[in-house]
Amino acid sequence: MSQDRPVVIEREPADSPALAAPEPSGASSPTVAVRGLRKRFRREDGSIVAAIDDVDLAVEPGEFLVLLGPSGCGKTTLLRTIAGLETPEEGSIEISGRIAFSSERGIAVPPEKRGLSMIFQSYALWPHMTVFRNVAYPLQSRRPRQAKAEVARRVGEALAQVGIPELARQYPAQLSGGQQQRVALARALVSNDDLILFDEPLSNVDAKVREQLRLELVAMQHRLGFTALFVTHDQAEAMELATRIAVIDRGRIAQLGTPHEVYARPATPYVARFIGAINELEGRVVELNGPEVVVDTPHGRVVSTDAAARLSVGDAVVALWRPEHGHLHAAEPVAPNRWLTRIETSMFLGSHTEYTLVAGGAPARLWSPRPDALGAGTSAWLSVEPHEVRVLPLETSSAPTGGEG
Amino acid sequence: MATATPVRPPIRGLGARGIRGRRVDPLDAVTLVIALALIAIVVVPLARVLIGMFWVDGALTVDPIVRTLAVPDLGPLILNTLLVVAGSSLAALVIGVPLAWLNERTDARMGALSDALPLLPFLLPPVAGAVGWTMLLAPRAGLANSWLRDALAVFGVRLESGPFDINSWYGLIMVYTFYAVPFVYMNAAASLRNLDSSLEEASRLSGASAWRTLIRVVLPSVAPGIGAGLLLAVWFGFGMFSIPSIVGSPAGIDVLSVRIVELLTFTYPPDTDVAIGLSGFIVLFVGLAYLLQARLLRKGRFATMTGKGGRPRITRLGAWKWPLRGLVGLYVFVSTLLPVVALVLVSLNGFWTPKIDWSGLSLDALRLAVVDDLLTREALANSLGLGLVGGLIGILAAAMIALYVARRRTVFARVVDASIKLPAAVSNMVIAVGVLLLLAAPPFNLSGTLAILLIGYLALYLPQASIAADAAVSGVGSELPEASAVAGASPVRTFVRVLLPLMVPGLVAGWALLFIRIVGDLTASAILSGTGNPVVGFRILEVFNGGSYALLAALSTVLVLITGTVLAIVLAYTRRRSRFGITAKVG
Repeated sequence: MSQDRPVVIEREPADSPALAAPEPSGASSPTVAVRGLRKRFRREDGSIVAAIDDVDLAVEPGEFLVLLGPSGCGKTTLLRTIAGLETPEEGSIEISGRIAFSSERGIAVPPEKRGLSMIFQSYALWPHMTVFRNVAYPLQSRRPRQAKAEVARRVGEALAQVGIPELARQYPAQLSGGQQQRVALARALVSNDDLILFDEPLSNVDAKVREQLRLELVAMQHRLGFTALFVTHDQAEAMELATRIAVIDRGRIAQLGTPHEVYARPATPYVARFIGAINELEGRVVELNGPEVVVDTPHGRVVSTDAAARLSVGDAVVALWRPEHGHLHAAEPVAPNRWLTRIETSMFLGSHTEYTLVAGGAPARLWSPRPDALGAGTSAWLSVEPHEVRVLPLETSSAPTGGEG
Repeated sequence: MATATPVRPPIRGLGARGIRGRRVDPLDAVTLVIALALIAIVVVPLARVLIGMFWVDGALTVDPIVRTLAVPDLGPLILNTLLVVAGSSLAALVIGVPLAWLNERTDARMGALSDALPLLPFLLPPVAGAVGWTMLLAPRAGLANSWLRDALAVFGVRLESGPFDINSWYGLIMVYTFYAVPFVYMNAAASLRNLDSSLEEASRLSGASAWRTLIRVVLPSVAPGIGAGLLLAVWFGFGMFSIPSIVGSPAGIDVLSVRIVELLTFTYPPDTDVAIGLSGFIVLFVGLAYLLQARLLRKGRFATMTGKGGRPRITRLGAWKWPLRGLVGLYVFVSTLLPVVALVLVSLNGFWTPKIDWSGLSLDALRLAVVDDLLTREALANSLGLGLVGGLIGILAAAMIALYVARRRTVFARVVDASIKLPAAVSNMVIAVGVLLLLAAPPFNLSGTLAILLIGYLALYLPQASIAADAAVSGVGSELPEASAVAGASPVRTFVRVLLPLMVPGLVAGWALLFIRIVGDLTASAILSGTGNPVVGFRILEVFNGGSYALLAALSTVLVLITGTVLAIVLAYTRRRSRFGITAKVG
C-alpha cells in the first residue's frame, strides 16, 4: 500500500475545476484552511445535531488561534476533523497547502499522514512507556526514520524545553498532573511540526499550575514559531493565549477576531454575552442619523454610534454596554444616555466597586474604578457614552454566520 | 457527544467507511469473517434446536412437543428444576447482598476476602465442588458428618449416620447456592462501590437512621445490580449439569439438565426429540426470568451512579464488627476451603473413609488415578490442550471483535456485538445440545472428535470472552490510540505498539477465565465428549458412575490444582502490571 499519497475513497470526476489542484505551498498560504465544512451527529433519541455547520476558517502561520465556546458547541469536533480523527461530511481541509480532506475529490488523509501534533485533554500519555519513549514515539513513527542518537538528542532537547529533563526514565503514572502536561507538550514539540492542536489541555490541572503553563506556552510559541490551534471553554484563557479568537456557536463561527475586537465589538449578542459581563436592553430602531442609531426600549431611549450590521428603522435590536463603561453622577449629567437609578447593592472589590442597580426599570451591573462607594438604597444618575453602546440585531433561531475578521 | 453516532453522510461512500476512509480495511475484513464464523457456531446450533421442535425428517410436525408433554414425570421434573433454581437464587440473594454490604460499606470489610469470594467458581469448578461436598456430607462416610458425630458423642448423642445427608433437597440447594452467591455478590458489590455516598448522607441528614437509610436508600439504589446478579444466578441454575447429576441424582431428584443429557448420551438410540423439547423449557424459563427482571427494573427510577463520588461512606458496626467478620470468614472457609480439604484428604488417603489415617497419607492414589491411568492421562492432555487453544482462539477473536465494535460505532457493529453475547441469554445446556445435533450428524460427522469439543466450548464461553475483551478494550480508551495516530504511527504500528501492550493484561485475564471454564466444564463435556475424545469432565462423570471414590477425589484434586495454579499465576501477573496504571480483572 502506498504510504505517502492521500487515500482516495471514491474516484469521481471533479465537477468543478475551480476546486481542482491546491495552490502550491507558498509563503502566503495559511497553515490550515477549512472551507464549507459540515458534520452532523445523531443523538441517542434520534435527533440530529450539526456539530460543524458550514465552517470556513483560515489559520495563518505562526498564529495562536483559539476556538472558544461552551461545551457541546462543536469546537472539539472541528479540531478533531482537522487532526483527521473525525471525518466530516462536506467541505475541505488543507494543511500547509496540502489537501487533507475534500469531500468533492474523495480525499481523506489519515491522521498519521497529516504531519501535525496534538495535545489531548487527558494528555493521552501511554502508560506502558517511559517519558523518554513517549516523547520519542513520534520520531520513531514518522518517516524518514531517525538514527538512535538523533532521537535521543531531540527527545532530550524537547524535555529540556518544557523543563523536565530529569524525568525521562519515569512512567506517566509516577508523575503529577502538571508534569504529565509537560510530557504531552514535549511529545507535541519533538517532531517540530508547523501545526500543534490543543484540545482543552489545561482543564485538568489546578489553577496555579494552569496559570504557569499558560505563560510558558505563550513564550514557547513565540520562541519556536509553531502555529497553534487551541480549544477551550474558558474565556479568560482564550483572551490570554490568543492572537485571534474564533467564538463558536452551535457549530458555526459566530465571530473571528483579535481578543480586543471580540470583546469591544462583538458581532452577535451571543458573543457579547459569552465574553465578559454585559448589560442588555432590547428595543426597536426608531431613528438613523449617519453613524448614530436611536433605539426605543421599554426602559428609555438609547443612542449608539456603534451599530454592527446594516440596520433600518423598525428592526428589533439589542443595545449592549459593558459594566465598566457606565458612569455614576450625583447630579443629572449632560449626556444622550442617562437614567436616574436606584442602587441595589454595592460591593467594593479592590480594583473597582461593583454596583447592581435598576435603571429605568431594568437591572444593570456597573463597575466603577472610584472607591467612593455609594451605599445601597441611594439614588444616582447613570450615563453611558453613545460610542460605548453596541447595537446588534436581535438573534433569531437561525443566527447568521457572523465574522468580521 | 460521547453517545452520539455519526450521521451517514449524504455523499455516497464517504465517511460511512469510517475514520480512515479506507475502501475495505483488511483488519476489518478479517474481523468480520471471524465474527461471522463465531456467530454461526452459536446461532446455527441454536436454530437447529428451535427448528427441531417443529421440523423432523423434513416435515412440519408438533410430534416432539407432544412427546415431550407426554413424558410421564414431566410435572415433577419441571417442578424440581424450578424449586432448586428458585431456592438457590433466593438463598444467594440472602447471603450475597449482606456479604457485599459488609465488605464494601462497613468497617468489617476484609480486603483480600472481597477479592477471593468471586473467585470460588474458578478455583473450585462446580464438578469438583459437588464431589467435595459429597465427600464431606455423605450420610455414613462423609468426613464432616463423621467429625460432627464425634463432636456430638461428647455430649452423649450417638448417631450411626448423618446428621446431614448431601443427597437431599437441602444438600442440592446448598451446593447450588455456594455457586450462585458469587454472581449476586459481584454485582451487588460493584453497585455498592459506585454508589454516591451523598445519597446516604442526605438520608442521614434528613433524620433517617442508619438502618432506615440502608433499607430505604441504599438497597433500592443498587437494585439493578442485585437484579443483574440474580438473573445470572437463575441462568446459571437452569444450565447447571454437574451439581444435580452428582448431588441430586443419587437422591432421586431429577432436573431438566440431567434428563436432557441422559436422553442424549445414556439412552440408546438417543431420544433427541424429547431432549430438544425439554431444552425448550430451559429457553422459556431463562427468557421469562429475563423479562421479569427487565420489567421490575423499568418500573423504578434508579439512582444515578456518579463515577467517583469520593470515598464511599463506611458504616461503623461497633461491637458487631468482629462477630460479623467471623461469620464472613466462616462462610468463605466453608464454601471454598472445606470441599478442597475433603478432596485432598480423600485422594491422599487412598480411599474414602471417615477414619483418616493421618500417618498413611501418600500420593499413591493420586499417582494411580492420574499417572497410571491411560484414559485419565489422555483426558487431562485433551482438556489442557483444549483449554489452551480454545482460550487463545476465543480471547483473540473476542478482542478483534471488541476493537472493531469500539472503532466502528455502526448499527451493524452493535448487531455483531449482541450476537456474540447471545449465548449468555440462552442456557449452556441448550447450545451444547444444538452443537451435538448439528455437528455429530452428516455432513459434519464430528462426533467423538476434539473439533466438536472445541467448537462447543467456544460457543458456550464466547460471551465471557467477549465481556473480558470489551473490558480490555474500553480500559485503553480512544485517546491513546488517537494520540499514536496523530504522532504519525500507521494503524498497524498503533495496534502493535499501543493497543496490544495495553490490552495484554486484560486479555491474559480473559484467557485464564476461558481456560478454567473449559478445563472445568462438564456441560458440553457430558454431551460432546466420549471415549474417543475424553476430557476431564467426562472422565469425572465416568468415574462417578462406576469407579472408586478415591479416584474421583484424586481427579477433582488435580482439576483444582490446575485451575488454582493458573489462577494464581494470572493474578500475580495482572497485579504486577497494575503498577503502570493498567488494570485487569479476573472473573
